[in-house]
Amino acid sequence: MQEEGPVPVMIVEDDPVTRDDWADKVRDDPGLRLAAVCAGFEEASTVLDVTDARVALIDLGLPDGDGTDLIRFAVARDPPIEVMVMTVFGDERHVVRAIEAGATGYLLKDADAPSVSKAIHDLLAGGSPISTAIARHLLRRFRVPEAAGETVEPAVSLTPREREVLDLVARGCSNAEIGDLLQLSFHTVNSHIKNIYRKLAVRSRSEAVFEAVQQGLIQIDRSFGRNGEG
Amino acid sequence: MERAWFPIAFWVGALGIATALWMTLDGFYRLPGAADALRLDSAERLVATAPDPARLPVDGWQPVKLPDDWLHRGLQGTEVWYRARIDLNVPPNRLWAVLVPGINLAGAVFFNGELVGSSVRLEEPLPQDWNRPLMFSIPNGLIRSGGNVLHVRVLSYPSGHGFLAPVFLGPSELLLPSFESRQFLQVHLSRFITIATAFMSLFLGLIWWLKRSETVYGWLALTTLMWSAHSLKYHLSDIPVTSLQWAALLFVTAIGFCTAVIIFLHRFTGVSLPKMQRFVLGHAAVAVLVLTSLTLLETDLLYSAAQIFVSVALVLAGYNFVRMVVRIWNGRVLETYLVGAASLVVMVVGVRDWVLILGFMDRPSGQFTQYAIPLLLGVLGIVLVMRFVGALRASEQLTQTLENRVAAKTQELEANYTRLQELEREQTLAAERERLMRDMHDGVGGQLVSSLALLKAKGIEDTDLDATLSGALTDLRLMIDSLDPVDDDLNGVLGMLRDRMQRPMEAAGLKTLWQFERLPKFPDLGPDRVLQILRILQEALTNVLKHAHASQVVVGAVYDPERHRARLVVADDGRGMNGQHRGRGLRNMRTRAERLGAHLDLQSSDMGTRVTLELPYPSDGPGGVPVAGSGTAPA
Repeated sequence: MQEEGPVPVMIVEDDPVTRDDWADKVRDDPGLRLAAVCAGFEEASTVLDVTDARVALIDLGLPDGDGTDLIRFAVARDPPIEVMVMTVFGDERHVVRAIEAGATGYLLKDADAPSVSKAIHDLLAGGSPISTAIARHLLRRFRVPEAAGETVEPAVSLTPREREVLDLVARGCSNAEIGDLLQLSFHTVNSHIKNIYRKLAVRSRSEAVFEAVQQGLIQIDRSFGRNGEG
Repeated sequence: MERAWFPIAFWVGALGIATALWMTLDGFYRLPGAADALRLDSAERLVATAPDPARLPVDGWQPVKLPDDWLHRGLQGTEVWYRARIDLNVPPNRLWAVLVPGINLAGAVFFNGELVGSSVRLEEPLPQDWNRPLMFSIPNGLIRSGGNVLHVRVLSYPSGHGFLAPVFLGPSELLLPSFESRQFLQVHLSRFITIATAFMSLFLGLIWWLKRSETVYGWLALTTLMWSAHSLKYHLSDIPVTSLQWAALLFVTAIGFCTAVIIFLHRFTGVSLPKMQRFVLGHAAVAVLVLTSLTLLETDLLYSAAQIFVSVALVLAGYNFVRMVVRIWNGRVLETYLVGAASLVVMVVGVRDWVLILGFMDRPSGQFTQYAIPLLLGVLGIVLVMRFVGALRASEQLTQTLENRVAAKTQELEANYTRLQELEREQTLAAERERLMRDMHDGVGGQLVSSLALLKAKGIEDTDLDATLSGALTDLRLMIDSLDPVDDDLNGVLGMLRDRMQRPMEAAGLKTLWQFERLPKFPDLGPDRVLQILRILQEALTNVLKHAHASQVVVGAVYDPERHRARLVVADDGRGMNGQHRGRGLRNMRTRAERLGAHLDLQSSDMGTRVTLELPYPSDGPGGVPVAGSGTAPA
């Protein structure tokens, strides 16, 4: 999937000043190319069908729709687009919702241009940013059902290594420090975090299906086999 | 069986006592001694009907030995006269009397042709004097020097059942002790037993009435009632009905007693013998029916029929009794021995009375079943009361257990309710926080971000404004962070601080060393504490950024197990503070430290500044044990 040239980036943000600011941040980096700038949900969903963007920066609080739905579109698209959510606080509520929808990273809205371009390039290289609060939340999310004695598919449960990484993040260690402590490269630590994000997304999807089946919203038809995978 | 010798010893002892009892019973009813009175062992007898001796025929008298039992002599008839000649040298100088210790059924005594005393009545219904002594004084002057004649008129009902024991003649005061002793035992004691058993029956009946399911009390009440009625025969002389009716009543109560005792024994030992029970009840019903009919027909056939029914009832009762005693033999120890001992007494006495009735012993020796049966009934009653009290105690214990359980459950429920309330409160808080966050995110937060962007877009180079806006944003973030549940983890709080402050520190070119030891859990580390801690440290770091002109800053956290507190440090290598700049910021930090109950220490020189926050753990908290000291994260 490695392509030559600058990485096409798409921005979805309703506040015009912030939107322009972010457009500038992308333009500042020659390694990035501004593929599209959208002001709302409707616009973005149309653009998502046709854009060649590889990365989408999406704000959740749009006036005409839910940003998480946009994230789902983008991730389900072929080829899929990597999504980073733009958040003012980087708070657990926003970020985790976005990750559950399929985002693999987040950016603070007041981040400066260098951190933005670094984060995008890291993301494409397989890494994801994380914070103490999010790590703690993820630990909690992955702990509860497994402690209840449920057998959980390995695809959606954490490996011991991933758990170690999360634990260290939750205690305030930086990725570099975690790499030192666990004898891992910085990149490996980063990709662990991205994997954890993916697992949360898969997990939340399967939980949603489970809930829906429980509530009778979905009839499982055996003949459809493995349709929903991927 | 453990202590196998004990039951054997018990029965050997019991048999010994029974034998002694048998022997003792002979002298139980007192008779006057030879020195005290004349004992008339022989007399003349004449079957004749007459109101007084003067009208008796002169011929036909036959000599007999006393006691004279008509049954043994095959003597038929309802009236027999006895006469005896008594020769005295001189008339006595004190009051003399005649003592008749045994007579069946009633009679009169004549001395020298004069009536000296008699039963209350000498016609139907005949008084029942068979179990009571009769003593009559002989009026002064009636006894003559030389020959005297004593006549005793004996009336029997039914025909052929008459009896006369040896008669005593002597000074009144010498006969009196024997008379009174017999009177007490045979009449007063018997009357007392009747009354006592009636009360016992009432008491048991009441228990049964209040607790119908416990039929065992009901049956023992009926048994006792039957005996109480039957025991009237021992002391009630002046009967209110005809002899036949009275006899019928005694037979019916005897059969009733046997029947009730059998059913009671079945209930008491907890066996179910439906066939036996049906037979016994059927027998009783038939007996009552037949005896009632014969009584109404006023025929003496009643006696023969009753003999059969009573015999059958007695055999049934005896059989069931032995069977039940054998059955409870291995049951409760105390019950077994009490009931066993009482049964033994009844059997000894019963056999003795039976031997007596059969004529192998003298009737004046008297009967004793009247004392043995109440003894057994009393023992059974005591055992039942013991069982009752035992059941009561067990139910009390059960109630206690139940109460304890209910109390425990109530407590559990209350705890659950409290937890539920807490959860609800937490949920409300979380929902409220969610709403606030959304508002802040889309409102104030977004506006701050777009203001910053606006400054940049318009090319305004105002560092102070930029710093103020950024500071406001950071402040907001810290507030929001503090609302995040941290599971009482101080390291998580420090991680938040690092998340927020690392970027500005790096941006300012400050080398920052984060040195956090793994700290023990801090119980009840709520949002307020978190915010105070975050604010104090943020203020310290902001001061370093703004004023210290430092090149390096260390942010550290260690746990002091001895004083049970966390020590949070911000130390820079800047030029120290000269006091004037930081007045307000420092005051704020101190106020916050006070709210935390923590101690804030500030040391400043031209080599740098060091802010130390000593945060004590709650002293009684459970989380006081440090996990490990090795978790130090390198910078």
